[in-house]
Amino acid sequence: MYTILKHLKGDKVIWFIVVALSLFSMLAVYSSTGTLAFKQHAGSTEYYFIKHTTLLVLGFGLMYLAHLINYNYYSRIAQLMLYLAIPLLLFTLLFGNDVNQAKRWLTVPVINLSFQTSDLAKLALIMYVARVLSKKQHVIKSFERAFLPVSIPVMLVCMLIVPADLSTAAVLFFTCLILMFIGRVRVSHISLSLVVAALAFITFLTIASMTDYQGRMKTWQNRLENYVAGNTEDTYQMQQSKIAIANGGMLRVAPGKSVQRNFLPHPYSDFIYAIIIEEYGLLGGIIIMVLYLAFLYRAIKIFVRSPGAFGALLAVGLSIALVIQALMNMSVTVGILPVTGLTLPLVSMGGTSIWFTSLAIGIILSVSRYTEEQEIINSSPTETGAPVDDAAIAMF
Amino acid sequence: MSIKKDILLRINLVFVLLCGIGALIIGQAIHIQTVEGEEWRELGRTSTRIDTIHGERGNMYSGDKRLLATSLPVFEIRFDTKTVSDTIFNTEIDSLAFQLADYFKDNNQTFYKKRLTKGRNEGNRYLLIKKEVTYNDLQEMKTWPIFRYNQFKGGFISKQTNKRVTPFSLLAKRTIGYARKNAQSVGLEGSFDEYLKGDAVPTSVHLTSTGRWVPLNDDYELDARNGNDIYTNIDINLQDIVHNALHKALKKHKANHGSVVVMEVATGKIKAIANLGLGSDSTYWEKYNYAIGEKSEPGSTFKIAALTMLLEEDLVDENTIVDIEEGQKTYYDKVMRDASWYPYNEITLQKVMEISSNVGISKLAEKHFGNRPKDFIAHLDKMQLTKKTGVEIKGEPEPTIKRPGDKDWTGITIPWMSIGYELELTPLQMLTFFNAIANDGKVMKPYLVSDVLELNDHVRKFRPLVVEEQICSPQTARRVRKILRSVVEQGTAKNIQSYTFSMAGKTGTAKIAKDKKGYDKVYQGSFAGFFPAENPVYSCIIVINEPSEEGYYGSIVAAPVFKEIVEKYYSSDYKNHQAINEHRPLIAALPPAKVGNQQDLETIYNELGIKNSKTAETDWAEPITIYTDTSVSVTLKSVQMIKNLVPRVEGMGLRDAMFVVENQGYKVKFKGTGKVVAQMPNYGERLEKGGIVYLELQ
Repeated sequence: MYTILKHLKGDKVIWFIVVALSLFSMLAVYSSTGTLAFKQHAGSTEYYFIKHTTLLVLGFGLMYLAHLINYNYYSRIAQLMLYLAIPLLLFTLLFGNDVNQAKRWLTVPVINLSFQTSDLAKLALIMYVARVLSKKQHVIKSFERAFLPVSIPVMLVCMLIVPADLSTAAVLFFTCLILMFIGRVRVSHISLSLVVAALAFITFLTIASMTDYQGRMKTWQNRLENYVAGNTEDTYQMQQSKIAIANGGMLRVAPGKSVQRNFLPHPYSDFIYAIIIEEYGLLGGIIIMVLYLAFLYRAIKIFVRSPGAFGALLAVGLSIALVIQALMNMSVTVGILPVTGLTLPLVSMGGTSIWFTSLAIGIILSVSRYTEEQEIINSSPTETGAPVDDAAIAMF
Repeated sequence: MSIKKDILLRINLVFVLLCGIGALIIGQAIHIQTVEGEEWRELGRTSTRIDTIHGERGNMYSGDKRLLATSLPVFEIRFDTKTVSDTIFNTEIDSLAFQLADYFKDNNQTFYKKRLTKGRNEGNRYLLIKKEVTYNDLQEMKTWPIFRYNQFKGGFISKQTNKRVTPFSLLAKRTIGYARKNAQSVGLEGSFDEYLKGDAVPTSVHLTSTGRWVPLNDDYELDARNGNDIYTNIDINLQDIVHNALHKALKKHKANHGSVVVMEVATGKIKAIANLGLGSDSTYWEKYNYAIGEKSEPGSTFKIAALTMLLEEDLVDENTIVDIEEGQKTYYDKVMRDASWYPYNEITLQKVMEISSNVGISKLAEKHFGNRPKDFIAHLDKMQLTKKTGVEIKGEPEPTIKRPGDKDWTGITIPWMSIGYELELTPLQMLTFFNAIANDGKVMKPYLVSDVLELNDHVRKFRPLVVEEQICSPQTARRVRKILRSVVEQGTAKNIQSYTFSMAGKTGTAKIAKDKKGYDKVYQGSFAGFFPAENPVYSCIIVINEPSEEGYYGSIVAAPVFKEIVEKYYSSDYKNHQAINEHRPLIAALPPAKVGNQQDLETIYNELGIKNSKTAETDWAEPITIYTDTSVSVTLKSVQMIKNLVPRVEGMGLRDAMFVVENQGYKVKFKGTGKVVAQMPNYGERLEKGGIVYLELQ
């Protein structure tokens, strides 16, 4: 145990949170795949459990590898990833695998692995925003020199995600706006981008309805109508979710005893939080909530200690993105927001998206790790071999 | 303020905001649990449930792929009286009642109108209209007044269920059996339930706002795998013959119950199995699987087991002379009597078997095995007579066989066991032994099911199984078969002798306990044998329990059933009929001849140029036709007449029979025409002069 811990550099609390969430995830996925597993693999819930555990373990590996790399490299990697993500998004939109009329998935040839290009784009964009914000701190209030370079990629990526996955695009967009706010971009500029985004969306809808592009329009329309009027499937999901929460009570330890897993569509992904509350009571729900917020708190700690602007913004940016998605998912579960289809990061069963989350956490840990090492280095005369973070000088 | 501090401030602001959202989420969860809690939990209880969707139950087929059992969809029709508006109900109720009465013809229009109106007045939302209507009925009913407005306006509710049907109605019904949910299942439906039943898939269903329960996911229904099909060895034509022959015999003898099993000699396949018992309504139906589940003292059929071991150990041969001591012998304090008196005392073993002398066989058994009872039992063990056959149907009992050292093993056990008492067997267990004799000493496991198929793919295939390679040498088996053939040709089963086909077998008559207490004794007549005698293809056992007192001998109640089965089987099966003729291509069969005056018979056969010989000079003789490959000859067997004993007149024409009987000082009453097939009292029984002998002719 000690030897493993020795290899895990960076914030130990974050490592602990990741492990805790993963354990919750394994329990909840094992329980909530009960019905689905019966259907597709003749009663073998183990199949999903093993598959999910494997994904988690591989994710852990990715996280470990990512945290070994000096975070300063990620500045350039972010740029390259974004240049790769934009054409891939476009490609997916046109030729991706069709799932529920939404083209979100791309299959990597040869290794035959499917992933959502939006997951890649999300990670790339947040890293890129952290990069640009850190580089532009000296001119951050400028419209042309700071706002445009940061908002144009944001707009572009989000618009490319919208047709297939409106909720992901919306959450990503708002996350970026929050990052811009933190990165000291003018509030008037941020408001402007909101207006532009709204206009762009309306334009898209108009064009879509005129060109007969069915796509996801019907789904959105239904969901919106349901949220307002409330009469069909989404209301059904909401009802079942609330029944699950009500069944849970305050304190309960009933692993695998969920009743609602049989009635909630996608209990293993969109509504896993409801299943957790049903099986582990409200206390279980609070623990999950606290784990996410503590994660963000630790990331802020990293920010405070980090000498470089890029690293600091990178850690905070990625953490905020993760926590916002978690909060969105939980808001849907308790009925504050309409049904979106966003998963609970690290907890929901999901294929390769777990790996992008792991990668993001690995990068946060890398920042943490090099910050810690730098503190030691600063107290000693030797130089570090890492590339010098020019933005750090500019910023602080 | 430094840049970093500014940023930190903003971050903290965002953090606080997110914490606020978190608190809001938890607050909402608490609200759902407490304030709205009971409402949601109640909704959960009432609007969701888990249903089970069953795959269709598999079919059961006969050996020739005809349907023995299948499931048909049937519909239960109910009526939600409250959904229908007053206008519709009042204007159409009369015509609906008329339709119901006119279509189902079970009740009149007034009855239906009353029922519907009463249901409506009581506010019944689930009024039963009809159970088990077919799909066609359902379609028809949907067009009727009121019902045509569908569920939401017309209150028409149909619920599909499956009904198990057996297209051949009573045939092998108990063996086909039935599966029950909360009780013991019966027959093959029970034994093969795991294969037949298919998947039961739990499916989540929820109540929609329109009041219908719908599955969460429609795909589930497709996933309930259907059950496998079962192919049995039952030959439906033979089953039909067996069933009817048994039914006829039971009715004729007013018996309580009976069973017949026909087995294929080489494989142990059960080709037919009939079980009929007298129901409370005085008709016979497939009430219980007596053939497999009921054990009793077999009586004389069991003598063949003793005979086989005596021959196998070379202790005796067909010509061994036994003194049958006038058919009565005392072992210790218990007297054993033969069922009928035979005019000679010193007779051959062959004769002992033919006349089924209890004294004869028990003496030989006592002589050779009395001092080594363990060997006697060891033989029975090897013959598999002490074990279950392992047939697929549940409820087969273990045979009751005493063993030396048992509390109830006494000095008379061996003699009594040798004649089929002091032990209990099921008809199938007895038949399995006879089948082995027919099969040159090889015991085949009796089995009913040959294949289990999923669509067209084999799930399981059952092959003939040899239980014991050699219970005796093939030579011994052949000698036993020859003796069994002579039982039919000149022994106790002579009444069923036929000149068109050969049979072999042994009769059995036992006086057995009616119930477990054993005070009330009833008769049980049985016959076990096989056909054709020379090269057996099928073995068969008939057991008839509690026949009327008028005729209870195995030869009278059971053997004729055997004959009828063989006869009908050959007349219905062209191929087999041909095969029989192949055995004697050159020689024409002689017409059946009756017992008659010896001199008369001699004259006739001489006139016809048929070789004949006689066994002794007597007044009366019975012609026995002997076929070889190239010739046919007749032996005139002497028939003895003894004073104060009923003579044997079975097989005689009426004129001769009356002459013989009246010559002995008795009166004759008869019915029917043709040859005497039954006589009462039986031959060899004592009857005072002037007594009446009843004859039945056919």
